[in-house]
Amino acid sequence: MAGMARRSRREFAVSHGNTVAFLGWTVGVMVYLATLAVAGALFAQTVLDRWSLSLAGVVTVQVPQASQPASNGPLNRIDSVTAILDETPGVHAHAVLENARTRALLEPWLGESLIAELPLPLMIDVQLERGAQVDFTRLGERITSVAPGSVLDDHGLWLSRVAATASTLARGGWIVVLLVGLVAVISVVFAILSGLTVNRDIVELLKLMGARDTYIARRFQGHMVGTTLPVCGLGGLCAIGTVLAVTGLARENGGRGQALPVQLSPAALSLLDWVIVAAVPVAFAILTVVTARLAALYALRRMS
Amino acid sequence: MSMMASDSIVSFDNVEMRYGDSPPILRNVTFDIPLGSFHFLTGRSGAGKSSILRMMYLALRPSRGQVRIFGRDPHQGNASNIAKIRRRIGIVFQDFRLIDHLSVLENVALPLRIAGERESVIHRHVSELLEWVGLSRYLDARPPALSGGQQQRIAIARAVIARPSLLLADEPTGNVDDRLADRLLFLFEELNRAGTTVLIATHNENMVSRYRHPRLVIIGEGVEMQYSRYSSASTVYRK
Ligand SMILES: Nc1ncnc2c1ncn2[C@@H]1O[C@H](COP(=O)(O)OP(=O)(O)O)[C@@H](O)[C@H]1O
Ligand SMILES: [Mg+2]
Repeated sequence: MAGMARRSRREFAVSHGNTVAFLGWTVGVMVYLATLAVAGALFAQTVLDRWSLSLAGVVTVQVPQASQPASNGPLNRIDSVTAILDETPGVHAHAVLENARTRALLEPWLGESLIAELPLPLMIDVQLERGAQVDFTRLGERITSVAPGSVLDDHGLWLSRVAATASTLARGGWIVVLLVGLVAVISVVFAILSGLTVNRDIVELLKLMGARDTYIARRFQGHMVGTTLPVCGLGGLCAIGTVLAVTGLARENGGRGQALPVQLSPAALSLLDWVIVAAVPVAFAILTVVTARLAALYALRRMS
Repeated sequence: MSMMASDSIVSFDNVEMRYGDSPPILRNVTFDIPLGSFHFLTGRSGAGKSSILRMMYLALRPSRGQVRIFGRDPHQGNASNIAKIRRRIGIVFQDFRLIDHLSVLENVALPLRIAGERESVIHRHVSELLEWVGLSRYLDARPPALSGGQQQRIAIARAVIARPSLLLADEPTGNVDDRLADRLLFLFEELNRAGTTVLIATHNENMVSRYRHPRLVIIGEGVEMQYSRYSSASTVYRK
């Protein structure tokens, strides 16, 4: 009984020899790359969303230290600027960054000695009300009129640059997936065609015995699918492992270097993102099976 | 002579056969094989016996004339129609055409698998038949490990396992001694008694003369059908 069950599961598959072993490696690597690319694209998108979210409604005002100690000292200039901010509609809150904090923020980048000599500008973090339409040009003019040399930065420019970069990365990721998918399809088609050619005698024999094309195609798929399915799973697992390792590393670094602003703290993929990432190897598995079957049926119809 | 009688399983009508652009190797071939009959197809080596069988199992198409199988022109339907006809034909190839990487059992099981037979039935029938042809000890062996005679018996077992309506055997006793040849012929006769029409192509005059079955003889350009010396009737189908 056991022997019979074993035999039925062992229904014969046509051997493709090295072609399939090679295909296994190829598909495995391709699934790995595609899964990574999708994770990367989703990650870039997440980072972008997070930055636009945390930077939206935030404006920074830099007030330079006065070059010569005038009657109008820096503190007074700050007071004048904050007074202007107070009466500007749409400003929710503002806070002067302590010089010590600014120094601490910059220290890892510039070094202790340099920081000490640097005439650091005073920074004011301005929180806008949600959806507030503030005329930044006009506000900037008013601020420079009381504190010449001040800079009002609404982060718009560099945010748009980051956004462009991130969306290019995301789009690039999807293009990689498409290309890799295309290569996978081509590899499977060639493996099937070469398998049919190498085993032409068996194909002809099966046809003479009255086997339908679907039966023969199944025999050819059998071996290939048996190889590519586990390989798709393996490639996907390796990719997910890589993503976990990379994001874990990022999180660890983020935790240690406290200098990182919120916007740069590591982003994590959402549950939905993970589902999409996990769907990549599954999609590849389905793709290889369907491609193998269609290629085999097409070639068999042409062989008869 | 009844052309295209409804009870003929194979009928050739003025068939001409050529390989590629070379001159025809068969011409004016006309004969009928009645349902349930047992025939030998004889002729010198190179006369065209294998080619005639190939036309019957639809591996070749005549360059002229008409071949009808089971009363119909097989090339008129679609591919699945041809497959259906072929499933009713058992073939013993001259070169056996066993699949080397499959065990003896799996080779013989192929026609049943193609027919979608249940696994338990397959195993029982295949073991029984292999025992009958004396190969029960080799169920799990691979064909290349066996002798020519043993491979021939596997090929025969595979051809008859699905109880075909028509059995075509190309030199099926070429690699076995007379004693085993008789045993295999007995198997074919058993099958014939159970309703299978049998056609055996052979150049082995010695074997043919030991049996009473009618024969188709290829002479010159065409086929002559005659009955063996035990029989009086002799019919010639020539132009
Ligand atoms: N595939 C082929 N291509 C070209 N010529 C062939 C082919 N097969 C057989 N022939 C030729 O056809 C003739 C008949 O061959 P065959 O049918 O094998 O004869 P038999 O089986 O009676 O020995 C021979 O002259 C042979 O050379
Ligand atoms: Mg021959």
